Amino acid sequence: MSSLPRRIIKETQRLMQEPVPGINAIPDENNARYFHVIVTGPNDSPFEGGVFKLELFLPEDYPMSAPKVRFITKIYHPNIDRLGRICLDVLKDKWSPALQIRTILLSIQALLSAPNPDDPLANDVAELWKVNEAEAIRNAREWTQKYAVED
Amino acid sequence: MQRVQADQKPARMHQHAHTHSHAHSLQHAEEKEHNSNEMTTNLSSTGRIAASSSATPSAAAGGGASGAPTPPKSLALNQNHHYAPGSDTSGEQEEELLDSRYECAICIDWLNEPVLTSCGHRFCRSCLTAWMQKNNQCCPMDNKRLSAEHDIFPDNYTRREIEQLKRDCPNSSLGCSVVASPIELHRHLPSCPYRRQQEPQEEKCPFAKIKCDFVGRPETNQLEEHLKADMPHHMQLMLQAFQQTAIATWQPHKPSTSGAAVENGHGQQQLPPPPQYANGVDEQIVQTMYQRIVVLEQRTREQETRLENMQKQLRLARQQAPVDPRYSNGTIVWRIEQLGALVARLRANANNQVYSHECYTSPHGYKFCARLNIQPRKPHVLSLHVHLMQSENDYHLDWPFKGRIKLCMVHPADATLSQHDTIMTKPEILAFHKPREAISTRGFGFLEYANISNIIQLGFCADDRLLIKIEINIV
Repeated sequence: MSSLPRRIIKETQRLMQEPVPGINAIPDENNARYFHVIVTGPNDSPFEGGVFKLELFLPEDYPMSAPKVRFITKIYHPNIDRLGRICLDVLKDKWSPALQIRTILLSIQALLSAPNPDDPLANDVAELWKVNEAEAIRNAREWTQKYAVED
Repeated sequence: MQRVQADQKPARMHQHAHTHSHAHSLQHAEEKEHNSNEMTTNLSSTGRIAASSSATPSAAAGGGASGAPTPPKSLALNQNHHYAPGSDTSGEQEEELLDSRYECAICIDWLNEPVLTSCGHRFCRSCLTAWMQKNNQCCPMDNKRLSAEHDIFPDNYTRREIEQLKRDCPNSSLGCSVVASPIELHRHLPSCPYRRQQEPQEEKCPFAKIKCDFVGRPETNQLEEHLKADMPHHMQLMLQAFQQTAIATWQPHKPSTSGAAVENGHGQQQLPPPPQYANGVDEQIVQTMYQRIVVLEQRTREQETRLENMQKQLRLARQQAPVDPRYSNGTIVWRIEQLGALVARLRANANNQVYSHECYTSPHGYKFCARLNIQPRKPHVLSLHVHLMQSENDYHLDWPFKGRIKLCMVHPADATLSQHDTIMTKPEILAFHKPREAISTRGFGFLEYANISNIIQLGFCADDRLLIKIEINIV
């Protein structure tokens, strides 16, 4: 038995055998704790049609601590900053070992459908989302077309 | 789907070009020696390389080349095989039979020494203990408070249920006759005399075939670091291997050049074996090179994407920097595009209003924006008002605001024709009191700022664009 925890092996197997619609997570060929992730923008959201790349890493004490997830594709979202860091409670203080890679990625996809400008990571984006939501949504759609469609 | 296919084609073309360049480089090196025999050998070798190269792509893809885009299932098989084939078989079989009642949500495996929480969830004792030792005093499933003394109980019923689930050892087809519960099987498998030999838990360098002896552990980045740091060494090894190949394929031809009839016959007898050996070596080396090229190509593409993203961010940051309202010193330069469409929209509905971007009188000063609208009873005139906005500075500023506001409709062709208006604040006007909303509902300005037809006739509107400049100063 390798020193990789059985849980990670099982999660990886299940991700391959039962893919989540709109989400693709592939382990790196050199590091079984590192995943290349693709999340499609949810329908009826300004991110619709976009294909967003993320990277996900399982720390040494996973599942007792949350995975590290970051957007690689640029995205105009009040809870995601310019470095791709994500402000999401289940990735921080609300983490639970009963959550898995698939549930985390589904939560991120849900965050795209329901931005929360009252708990911002990108203050300027969140400010615009409050003051002029129509313009903010237009910006999000533009960024999706510009950065997430060619990818 | 189509995008992926499009990606594959240029990648393949690039790889071919890369290989050709490499062969060309070798040819150049050989030519420097000006030896006709070696040139002949080189031509033959080049031909074989080309042939092997055309054959390699499908083989590499079939083998799960590290960089090639392969279906997730193939990659999964590759990964599983790499890490724990025996355990994989066992895991799959167990997974089919694993009832959710007997699964620990933390380790996603059979409950081992199950415990039951007062909120009704089951975990392995060691899994829940590990979670709670990290200062987490709540249930992983529903976040209910848990105390180790009062809320966690041995679940002997579930433990007995699991112990009664008997099944064959996964190695029964290899001769093992053990029948046991999943927990017992888990302990039995590492020592089962019929177990298949595990794959080594070490990752070898893909250049091992040409004598690179690096070995790394799969769960770390050692191999990746090695591939980056030791590339010159790998190129050297590849060159040496090619030189050896050239020498090996060169010797059998030497006797045939003598010209004697008897020696010709002897030469013919010698020809068959060396080409086969050389082909084998060539194919291995070319395959290794191909895999490396695929990996490098992928990394290059990723780096290019990241670089492009960073450049775009930098461009945006530069563009946005001058627009930071905090440093506008009370000036709004409002560029209104598509004035015609805007006027039509404002006339269509009296509730339609358009706001400018905000400005600050100073980084820690008052915050303002401007508003344009058209009154329902006066569709021929444009109204312009200035509004205070809430900001983080309000608590330390003097209220009501006292200042001078200059409004200027800029004439694009002749500045002397611009329309200037200056208004002074008055303390009794509510518009200058501390705002109670994000944008104060009370504004100050002109209900009849400009006649719309005059704006057009007098030339203020160039290319359907209007420029309004507002300066706000404290006095």
